[in-house]
Amino acid sequence: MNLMPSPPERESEHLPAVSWWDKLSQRSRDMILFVLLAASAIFGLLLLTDAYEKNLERTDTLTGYILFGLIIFLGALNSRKKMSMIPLGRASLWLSAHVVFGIAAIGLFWLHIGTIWPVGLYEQVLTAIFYLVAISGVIGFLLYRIGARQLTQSGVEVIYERIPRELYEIREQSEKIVLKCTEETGSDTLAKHYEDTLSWFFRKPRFYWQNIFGLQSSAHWMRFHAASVVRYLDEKETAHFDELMTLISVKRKIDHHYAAQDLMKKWLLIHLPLSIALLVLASWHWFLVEVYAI
Amino acid sequence: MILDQDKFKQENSAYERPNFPFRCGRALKWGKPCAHGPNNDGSCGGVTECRPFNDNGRWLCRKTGGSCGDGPLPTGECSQRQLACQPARTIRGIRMRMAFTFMAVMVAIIAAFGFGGGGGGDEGGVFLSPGPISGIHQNFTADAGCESCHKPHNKSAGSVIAAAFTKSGPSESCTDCHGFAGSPTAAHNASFTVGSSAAGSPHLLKTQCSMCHTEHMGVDGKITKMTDEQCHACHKVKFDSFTNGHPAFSANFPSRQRAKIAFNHTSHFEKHFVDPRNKANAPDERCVSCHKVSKAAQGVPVKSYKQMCSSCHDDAIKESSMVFFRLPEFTNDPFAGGKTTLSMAEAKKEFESASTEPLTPIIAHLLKVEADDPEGYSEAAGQLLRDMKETGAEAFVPLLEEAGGNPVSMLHGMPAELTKALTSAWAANKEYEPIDSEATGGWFATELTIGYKPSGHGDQVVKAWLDFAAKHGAESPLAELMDPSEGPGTCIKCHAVSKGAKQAKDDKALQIEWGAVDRSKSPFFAYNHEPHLNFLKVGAYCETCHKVDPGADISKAFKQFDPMIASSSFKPIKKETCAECHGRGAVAQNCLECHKYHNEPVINKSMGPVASK
Amino acid sequence: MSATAAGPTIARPQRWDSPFDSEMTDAMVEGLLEVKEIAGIQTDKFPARIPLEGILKNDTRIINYESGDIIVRQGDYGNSAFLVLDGDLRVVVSPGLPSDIMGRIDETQRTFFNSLSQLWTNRWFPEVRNDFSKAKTGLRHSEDKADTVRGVFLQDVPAVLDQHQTVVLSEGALFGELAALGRVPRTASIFAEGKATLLEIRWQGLRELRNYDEGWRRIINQRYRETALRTHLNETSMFHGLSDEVMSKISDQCLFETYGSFEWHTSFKQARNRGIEQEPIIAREREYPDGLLLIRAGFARESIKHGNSRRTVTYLGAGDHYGLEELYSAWKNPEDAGAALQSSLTSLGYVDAIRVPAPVLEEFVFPNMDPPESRIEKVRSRPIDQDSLLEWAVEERFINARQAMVIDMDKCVRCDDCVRACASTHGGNPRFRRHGKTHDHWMVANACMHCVDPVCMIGCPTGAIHRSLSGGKVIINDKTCIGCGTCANSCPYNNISMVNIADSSGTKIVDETTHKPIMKATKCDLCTGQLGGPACVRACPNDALKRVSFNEFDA
Repeated sequence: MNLMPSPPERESEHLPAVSWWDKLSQRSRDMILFVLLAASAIFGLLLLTDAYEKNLERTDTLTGYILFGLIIFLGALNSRKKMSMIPLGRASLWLSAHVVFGIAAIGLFWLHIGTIWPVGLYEQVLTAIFYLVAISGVIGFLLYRIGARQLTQSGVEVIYERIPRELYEIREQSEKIVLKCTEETGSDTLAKHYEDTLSWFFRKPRFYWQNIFGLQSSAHWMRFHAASVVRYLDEKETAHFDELMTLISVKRKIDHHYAAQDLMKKWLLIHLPLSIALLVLASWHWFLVEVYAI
Repeated sequence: MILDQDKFKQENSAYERPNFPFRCGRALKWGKPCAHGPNNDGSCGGVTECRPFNDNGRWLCRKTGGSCGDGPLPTGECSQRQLACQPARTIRGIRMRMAFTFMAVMVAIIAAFGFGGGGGGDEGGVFLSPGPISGIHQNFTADAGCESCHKPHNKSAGSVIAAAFTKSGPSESCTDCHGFAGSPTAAHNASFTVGSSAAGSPHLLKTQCSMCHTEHMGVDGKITKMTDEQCHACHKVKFDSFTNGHPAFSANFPSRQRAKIAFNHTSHFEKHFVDPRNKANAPDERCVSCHKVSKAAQGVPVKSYKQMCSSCHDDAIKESSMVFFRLPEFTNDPFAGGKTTLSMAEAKKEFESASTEPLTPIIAHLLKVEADDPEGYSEAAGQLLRDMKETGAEAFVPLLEEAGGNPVSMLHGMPAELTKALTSAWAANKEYEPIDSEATGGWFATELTIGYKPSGHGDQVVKAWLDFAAKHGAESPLAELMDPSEGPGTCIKCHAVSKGAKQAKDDKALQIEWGAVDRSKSPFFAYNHEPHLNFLKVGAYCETCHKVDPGADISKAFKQFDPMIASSSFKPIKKETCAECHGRGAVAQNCLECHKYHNEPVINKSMGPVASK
Repeated sequence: MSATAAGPTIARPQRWDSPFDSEMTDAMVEGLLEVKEIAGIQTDKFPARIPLEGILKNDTRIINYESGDIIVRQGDYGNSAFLVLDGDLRVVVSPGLPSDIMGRIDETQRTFFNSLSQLWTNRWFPEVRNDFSKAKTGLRHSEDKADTVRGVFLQDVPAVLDQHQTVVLSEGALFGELAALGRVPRTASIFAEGKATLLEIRWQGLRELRNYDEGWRRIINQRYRETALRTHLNETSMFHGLSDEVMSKISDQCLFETYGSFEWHTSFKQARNRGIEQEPIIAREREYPDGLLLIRAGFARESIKHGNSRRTVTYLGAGDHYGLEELYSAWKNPEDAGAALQSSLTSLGYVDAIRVPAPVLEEFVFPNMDPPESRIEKVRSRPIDQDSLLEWAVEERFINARQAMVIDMDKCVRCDDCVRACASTHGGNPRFRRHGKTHDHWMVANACMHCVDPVCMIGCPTGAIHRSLSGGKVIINDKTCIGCGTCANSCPYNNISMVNIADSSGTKIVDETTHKPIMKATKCDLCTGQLGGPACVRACPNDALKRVSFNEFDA
């Protein structure tokens, strides 16, 4: 999905004819293939369960085993990420499979339980956890797709772990500017305004959720506070203030990075621990079915 | 800093280590993170920047990347000191801990709540049960709990694990309480075997309750609700719905077999009831005069003979007497061996038989002689006569017993003096002079015979004799008794004689159907007349569906002994008649609407709480 | 670009401000002039500003070698030629000495289980080293400065002589000039059999000797023609199918040309800031070509006029040619005067070229050749934004890269899976940093690009950083690295990091006498010996990371 519009393609002479398949990115190609695979597998499974039902055989044993194997495969993505030292297939292939088969697992889950919400306490807990894992997965996927582009288009690039250092240095620099301004011009307008309002901004990343949702809150806030103080500054002070504004615009971009990268890491705090719980509870379910099912 | 040109230089930018589990505590609080970062053990690594080295008395800075400007303190400590921070875990570290915690919590919850449920007030097992069982079953399993159906429950760990590997026989748990007329693991609990080609699967040859019934669907779970597809699993002819593909009803539906009473509705409605001679006795209504609509169920039972038929048919019945004993023709005097008051001279006279008749078939059969062979039977018959003279009716008892009859019912009411009087006359070679006892019925005597006149419909003696005759089959001479044209055979005019379906081919015994067909005995047919009564067409009523077949002759069917040869005075009911309402989105048309699966389900246990095992 | 404000002044830097060996004395130079090969040089042929004595004093040095000292290692890059003054040397005949004797890394691929075992043997303690066994090469320290390493030496000379085929080089032998002038790897390993004295001539001096002295030129050119030139011509497709005789004729007529600064990496930043106007011009647009230029080494920029500036068509590297189109059309249509060069050629750093004269081509090559494709028109019709990635890559000199780590930032979710994968194949230590220069949505991360022209390798005292003999990766042998930091400072792209190593308990290791931290140079090694190739590429879950060469990179 290319969100950046490009100028119209010219009828360029020497370009060899490129099929639509080759124009797709590797990721898209992988996904299409997996969707086809999953669709045919589900179709086959539907036919099979239909045949089972017609023969008065239980379908939930079949769908249950497949579903269990599927969630183990989905969980195996975590192990694959730790094992890049041996050739196990491209991680992007695994992720495309994970996403496609994750969605397929929802359908398979409904096929297995025959309803959307089961009867029975522990089964309801299991279903709730499954839904949470699935929904958090979908949200995470969307976060990844949208967030990556947002960050690239912000204009700076910063490593998440280095943000505290960057902010510290910006803060230090901004305080230097303000002090220099006071020293050179003899007026503490800017210094006071800094202490009253701007220092809050520099202390840590701000406007977290506004940045996530693409609001322009920090620019808006800055414009307001700039407008508030500028009327009281003379030429020299304004020069210093301009330096400060440069820093502020950089810091705003870092804030955006912080918010997006933070969420892109923290959503996994929901997805992963819950999927472990899901695996434990699903194993318990399997055990119960093996022992008790009539 | 981010704006610096040389921010990528290796001395300004060390490797990032995503697997390192700690981060600087100052960074966490948005302060100034130290360059070194936390130590490997999680303690603050930025307290000092180096460990100074003492080179011949001089302390030198040993910072990675080059000495600091200030150099160490005279004491040998690093001059760049700061307070220790409290390093925190990185997000990956937190994630690892959360994963372990969630796993541990889940295991704990399972351990705490995943056991129990043993009944008798044990409320445990909330993480064990896949849902409440249906309300009905709950009442009966409250005491034993899960063990009522699940054998491995609450047993030792070894047997629980073993249960995971053994295939449980589901029907065992269900059949503790539920019973059927046939095997619980046969299709329809019936004795017929499902053809191996049924649905192509050997799995269906032996059925399990769980193939169709699912529990743990909640208190309101419908255990008995089935889909049509489930029936189609075995039935070869598969179709979409009743209106779309259901096979046509059988040719004689609903008369799969002939009735036990040969009542021809057609002749009665068309001839007998409209005959002016019968006007007084003919019923006012058509069907409901005889069929008790208030008891409408699978069948609509008929009223009693007395209510329906006696007004016309009683007379004929009372007339149909049975001849039991007839004095046969003798060549010699049967009484000759006994004492007589006759003179010698008279005795020497040529014997003239008082009777020229043969024996009755009954007596011939009892004596095991030919009925019309005087030479053959004279001795046995003579003996019989002499016994009759001596002991009266007692004479017949051993004969009857030997022939397999029941003398008490067959000779019921025969006065002892009757035979005495008869034989006295016959001993004198004279005919007996009877008193006319036509009016009262029962055993009577004529000049040469002993007979029995039935008292009315349902006469026990006649019934016993007919049963006795039927037992001997159609070939035996006793079969004459069953001839509908005369005598006791009048009963056979209405009551069918059949051969049982389960009888061996060479077993000649027949049986007489004394009662009307009890339709409630059809275990797989779920039809009930009662709800349909409101939908009968005005004017036609029963004949909405049961249309009388004008000119139907059902007698042919009753002349033979196979009850499955159907005959009915009604036109067969066609599927289309039912489909008028049951179909096309009108009234329900699923299989179970009209067909039942189980063969007479019963509950084995007594009502009331089940004692814990 | 820069303001012309008055500022501090210095004297203009002179060529010989940094002599090769500051301890060369006039007396030593005198002694050298007596050496047979140098005595024959006609001093008057040299210009006044570059006198022979000056060359000898500033561009050469005399080195004494002990028995076993490795003078040049096969496969290494070098900038000097050597003249044997005294003693005997041994040239190891192919296949050459084993890599461990040479101080090279063993590149055999790991077994599957060995690879898998990294899963549990990796440490998250930074830079743990477990193997402190001695390297098989000894380190030769300088006599006067004890902590300066001069080179490596063979431990066991007799054994080597015994087991390998060698050829003797004696007094008066000249070797190494190909590598020095041609930037090709040393073709063989040469070590001192006993004590030996060599005159090391750095390439600048060698160039002057070749330029101004008939004898030396003859020798060098002849050697070059016999070996490298012939090989290069054979590998050029337009000369395929020609007989040996014709090839000899062609190679005899070829001319050698060099342009630009050999040590471009040190002036890299200034060159970048000055821009395209300051690049040394090899050929100008609208002039007439007098021969086809075959690029032997280095990079040249082909550009066309664009308004008041210039626009890059492409960059040419080793194996590429320039001027073919124009020469062909001049031959095909002699009456057509429009056979002028359609683009200019400037050198990026330095360029070594071979000029094939037009008559040679017209006689032997053009008659059998299909008309060449036109590159220029394609570019003229394209909007400039389509070329901006290329322009940026040339500006940043990423054209040098053979395996640049390019990350598509639109796909990158900053998950660090690539860094973790890199760490998993290097004992838990990542070997690149996930930051770098960006253009549009592409980032070239700070990971070793395994350059065509690996300037990092210049100056490594031990040869720990070397190029894999299979011609690809540039690898650092952790065992022989002494942590001097030369390579890290040389790399123009800041892709080499110095790290303080630790023992298995995680404690940082310091030198036993000085207590200074022991450092090692580290960088990406393209997962040498690992199964499956570079782990970073395989580990990216969004397919964002690729290792590319910019002339093949289709964004």
